[in-house]
Amino acid sequence: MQKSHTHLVLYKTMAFALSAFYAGVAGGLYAFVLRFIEPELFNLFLSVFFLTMTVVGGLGSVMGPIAGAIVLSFLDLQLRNILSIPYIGDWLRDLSASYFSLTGVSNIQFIVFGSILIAIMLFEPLGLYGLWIRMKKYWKPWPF
Amino acid sequence: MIDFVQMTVSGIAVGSAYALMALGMVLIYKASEVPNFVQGEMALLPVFIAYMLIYSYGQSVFTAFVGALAFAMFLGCFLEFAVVRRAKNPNILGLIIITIGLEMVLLGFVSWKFGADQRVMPFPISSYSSVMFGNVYISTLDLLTLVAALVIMVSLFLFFRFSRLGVAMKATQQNETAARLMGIRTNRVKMITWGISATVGTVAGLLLAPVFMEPYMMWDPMLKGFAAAVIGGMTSLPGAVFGAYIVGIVEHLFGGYVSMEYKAVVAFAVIVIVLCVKPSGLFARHYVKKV
Repeated sequence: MQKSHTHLVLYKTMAFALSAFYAGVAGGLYAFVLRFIEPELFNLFLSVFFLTMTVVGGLGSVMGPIAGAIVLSFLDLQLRNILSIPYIGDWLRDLSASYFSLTGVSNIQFIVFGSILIAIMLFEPLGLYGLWIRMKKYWKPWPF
Repeated sequence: MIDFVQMTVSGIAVGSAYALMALGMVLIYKASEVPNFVQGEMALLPVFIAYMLIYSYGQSVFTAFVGALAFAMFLGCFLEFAVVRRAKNPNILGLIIITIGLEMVLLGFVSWKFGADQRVMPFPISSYSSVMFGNVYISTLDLLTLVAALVIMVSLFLFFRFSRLGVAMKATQQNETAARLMGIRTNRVKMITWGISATVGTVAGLLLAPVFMEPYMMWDPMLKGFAAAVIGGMTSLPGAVFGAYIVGIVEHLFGGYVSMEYKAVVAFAVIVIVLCVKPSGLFARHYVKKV
């Protein structure tokens, strides 16, 4: 790249700046969604959550992280009141009451997200984007 | 002046806990080439197992601690064997993401099992009594941390110098292909490295637990240990220890003279400064990319 007269440092800096711009816009909008802000809100866990979204969607694709964000936000909302899901909820309540603690049941979402991260890295490193590519490849010459 | 000496001594005591975490991270970085973000949680789970052994099964403190260390060894080996090894031709980002995922799973498991409330680890030595050297106070727990860190450093040094397994580990870290050609099972050596690293981290966790025990307790020491390892160059054991003492001392001096509120942040400012001056860390001999 350096040989073809592309100014590497300039473009890398520009990529960094652009990413900071998007993060800034996101932060501003997030504050309106939540209606309150404090510095502690934007912690490492939030970064890890975004990383999970990106990985689920597919590293290195543009549409992937959007899909990942939709999937994971939906999952996050569902997992917040996991105890009210019909059958799994009752089973989890019994399990927590006898072996675990009921106060910590919301932490199941960490277990789920962590397992998703590991499973994607082990079985489909490109995430949803990789699945999409594979599907396209499979269906393109369809009858054969 | 006495203030300065007192703060330096407290800094060294805190630094030794960071040093243990940093040692664990460096061990794993040298073996598997991944900054290991699961280091803190590999120590957290055994600490809570020790707590459970004491309270639910009525074991003595000594038995519980030995059990926790044995469990840490098993946990480290298991994580490498069951998860990290299974990654298909992994790149560095993939491995980092796997360790972050493991970290989330273990953290979620511990907070599900034990709830988020703070607990108190029973410990034979109270964290409030202290010893006096000249004009400097040092709490007995800090003293124990310092001694334990020194003992572990010396035994790691001896292990890498004189035992067959230690030499095999060094060989694997230096050149994996050549080590495999010489008949070393590099996979097994890596697995044992993870076990040792988890055990070293657990010692730090057990020494930190009497002061502060809740599921998030290992976050801060883990990040500080990572900072220390980066300062030392990520591949050098003495470098990691040195970096940890620097982080501890700078943190305490900053907390004493400048601002208590931003004490936790200053370690990362130190990293930025060190990496600007010497990008490969203070102790890295020369940066060679393994192919």
